[in-house]
Amino acid sequence: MLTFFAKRIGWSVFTVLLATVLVFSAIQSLPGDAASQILGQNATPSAVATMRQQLGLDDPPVSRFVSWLGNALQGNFGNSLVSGGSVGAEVGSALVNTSLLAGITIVIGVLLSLVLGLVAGLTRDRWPDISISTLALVGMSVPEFVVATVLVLLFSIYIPLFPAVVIAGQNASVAEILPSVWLPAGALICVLAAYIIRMMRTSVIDVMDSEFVRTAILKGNSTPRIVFKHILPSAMLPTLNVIAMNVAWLIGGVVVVESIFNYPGIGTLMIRSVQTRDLPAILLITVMSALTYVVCNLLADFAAFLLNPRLRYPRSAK
Amino acid sequence: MTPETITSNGRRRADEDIDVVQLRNLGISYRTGKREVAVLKGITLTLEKGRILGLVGESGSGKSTLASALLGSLRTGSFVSTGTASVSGQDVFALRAKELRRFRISEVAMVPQNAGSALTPTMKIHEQIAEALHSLKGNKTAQRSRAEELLRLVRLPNPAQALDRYPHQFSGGQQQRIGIAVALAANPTLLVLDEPTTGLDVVTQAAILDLLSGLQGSLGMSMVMVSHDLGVIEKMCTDVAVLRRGEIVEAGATREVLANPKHPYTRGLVASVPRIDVPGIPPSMDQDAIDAGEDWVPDQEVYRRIAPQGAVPVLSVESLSIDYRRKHIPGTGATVQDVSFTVNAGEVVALVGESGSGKSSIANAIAGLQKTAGGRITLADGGAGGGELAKTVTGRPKNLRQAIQLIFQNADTSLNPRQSVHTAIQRPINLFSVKNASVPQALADVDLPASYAQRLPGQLSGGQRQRVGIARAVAAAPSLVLADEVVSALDVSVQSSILRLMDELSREKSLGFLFITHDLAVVRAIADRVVVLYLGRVVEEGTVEEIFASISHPYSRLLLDSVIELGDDHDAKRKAVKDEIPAAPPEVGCPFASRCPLVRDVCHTVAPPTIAVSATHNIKCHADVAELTGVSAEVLEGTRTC
Repeated sequence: MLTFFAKRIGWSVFTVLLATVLVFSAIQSLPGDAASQILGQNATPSAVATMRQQLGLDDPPVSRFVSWLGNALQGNFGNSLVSGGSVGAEVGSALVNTSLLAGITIVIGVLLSLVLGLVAGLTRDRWPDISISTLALVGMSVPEFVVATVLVLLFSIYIPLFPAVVIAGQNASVAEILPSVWLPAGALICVLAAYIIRMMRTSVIDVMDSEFVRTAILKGNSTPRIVFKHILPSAMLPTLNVIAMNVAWLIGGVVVVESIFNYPGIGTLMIRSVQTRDLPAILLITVMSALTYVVCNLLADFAAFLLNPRLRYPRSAK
Repeated sequence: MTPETITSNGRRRADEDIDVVQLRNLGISYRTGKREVAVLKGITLTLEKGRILGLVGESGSGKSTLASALLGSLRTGSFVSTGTASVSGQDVFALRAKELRRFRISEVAMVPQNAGSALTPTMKIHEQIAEALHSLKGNKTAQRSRAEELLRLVRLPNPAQALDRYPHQFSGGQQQRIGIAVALAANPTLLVLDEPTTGLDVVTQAAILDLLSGLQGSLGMSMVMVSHDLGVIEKMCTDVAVLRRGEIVEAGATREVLANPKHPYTRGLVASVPRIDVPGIPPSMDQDAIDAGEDWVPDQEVYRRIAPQGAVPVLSVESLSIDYRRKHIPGTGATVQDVSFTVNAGEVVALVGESGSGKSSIANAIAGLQKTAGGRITLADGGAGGGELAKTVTGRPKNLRQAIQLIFQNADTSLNPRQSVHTAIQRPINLFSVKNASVPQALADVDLPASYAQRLPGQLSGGQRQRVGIARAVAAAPSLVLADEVVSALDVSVQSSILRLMDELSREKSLGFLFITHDLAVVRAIADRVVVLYLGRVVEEGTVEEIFASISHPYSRLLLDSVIELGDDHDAKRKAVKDEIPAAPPEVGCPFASRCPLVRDVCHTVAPPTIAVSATHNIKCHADVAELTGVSAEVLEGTRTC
């Protein structure tokens, strides 16, 4: 069992490292370097050269990567080329905001979609299933910016319950942001739920067709017991990975929704950093989102491990 | 031809209370589109308390539908079209959901065909048994001890530890025992068993059936047992109902019906079962004659295959070993070790053994699909050029790949459902540029009309699909065909015709067949020579007569003794045998030592020497020939007629 965990964690670390190398090299190959970026188009070549030296850009890429990684491991991710402040702090506060948004979305969205998927699977081809599946299909096919716009139209213009955009800036406190979380969260839940509902439904239907569920029914078990003891654990297994991918996508890729609502999260920061070519910020954000994907998948593996006795007790260990 | 009213035991009684099962004109249908298809038609039967009813029939006869109907369960889309089903005095299809639950809790339990997939994989064994212990609800300790008692009752090794394990941690036979324990937990009036031993090895099957008859006797349960195996039905059941296409064609007391079948279909069924004591391929059933309502009498003649003269080897396997272990585990040996045999042109060589004996691994190694750890596999020059076979199929030249072809157990999953028969057969002809070969010719070789080329696999019956599988293999003009359990998924009436086809092909095309099976009766019918495997080691080899004669390896003897056949003396007491195969072969000594009745100290340490009984008959054993001369002399050919 320990080797299972150790192996998975080892691979995860390797994956993150690999992603970091890839992101670092990708940024190196972007046209224009940081020095000319900072000094602007009218800078003299000698000034650029001096700047390059100051920033250590003349060093070979490998040594720059190693020193970046060394600093990063100590929590120093470099300074923003735009504001001059610590990138770590900037990204950190954006990450907190995004985590708030993502957290609310995950808790509500995952629970909601698991329940809806389960109901849809259990009532296969009857009206609850048909309505849930149709809604999920709509949620999947309509892009999130449309969902977001419709939500704004409904809940902040027709019925002014929530603010349409976030006015608070990057450094706003949680209390300031909380009221404006709900609309972006709603938009994200719609998209996220669609995938999980469909996966959960399929997986519940598969499990219901299995012989062990038939046997459980023929044993005279009550419906709740059949659903929660016999169907749910097996049906959750394939769904876990879909949840993991979606959760990771939430944290790494909420760009569109965040920018519609001007939500001061990681997506908004990413867009701004790309526009201003703030390379250290881009680097850190990309690495963070790779890290999120890896961690989410790792968590999904561990959850699968807990749900699936075949993983916990391999047959050979008799 | 359809009998009007039949009771399962053919008697009339005034007292209806003692009937556990009473079916009156029961019909079950399902809807596809606007059409209604009848699965069961006018089923009328009764079962007295304490008796065992066997439901026999081939695939599509509706026997499993009938079995689940006894629990008030229908497949989605199915409905009761006529009649009633009453079990323990309750009209099962009139029960409301809550009553139906109570009925399933207290009156009737089911042992499913494959306990491996019928036990919930995420629940511990004791939870699954406790669920059925409704009288002890809420009392955890009482549930646990009762669960342990039940596991002891079904003779599961280490019942106390088993409680906290999960289903996947048990072997197939053990899972089936657990499935029976779960069914018994509810203390049912009626136990319904759907092919309870079909997926199991002969030795395990014999042990499970003995267990069931013992339990039935001591608990006084009534049972309904579904099986396609007439031997099993004869051994277990007091009454029998023979089903064909949803109707009961014949019913009555088992011994009477099977010894003296009245309906042409039952006669055909009885005649087409291959037997160990009757060498040769039994006649096939003439379904058309039965359909036409003719009073068809099966041809009593079995077809005796004649072994080919002269030995021109096609394939020779020398000291083959296969090892699945990633690292050495002390006390265990390689999965397959030191296996040598040859297959001659025109010869059918059977590779026999229980599951886990390595027979499929060996076939895969010959096909180049399995990495070997040692040994040589050589293909003789059959015109296409021979030579030692590379370890994997990608390393073999085209002509060697052409020379070895495979036929699979499940023709329905081995044919692409979206490709026509023509495409499937044309492919090897094109790939290997086979001369003088065509799809119509290949179809004619397997006795299928040329018009079938345009069909899709879904439009064929099971037997026809297997014929296409054979046509596909033979179209490549191979010299060796690997046939892995090719008839075990087929109904007996189709089995014979496929065996006859293989016999024809082997003679006409001088094809060598390596025939892999666990079914000794089929071996007796088709094989010329037999190699008996146990835990990946050859324990005995010889001609088919020699293997079925009186001198045998103790393992071969065990296999032969475990076979349950029609006409056996089923009341004879069986010797207690250990029916569990060790998980891995031992590192040293004889692989069979842990189960052998003749075991001695030397067996655990020294590999057994080869006893050459004749030029072709070899047995690997430490015992001497006198001890190996068994008591089962009645299996000698010709001593009994059927």
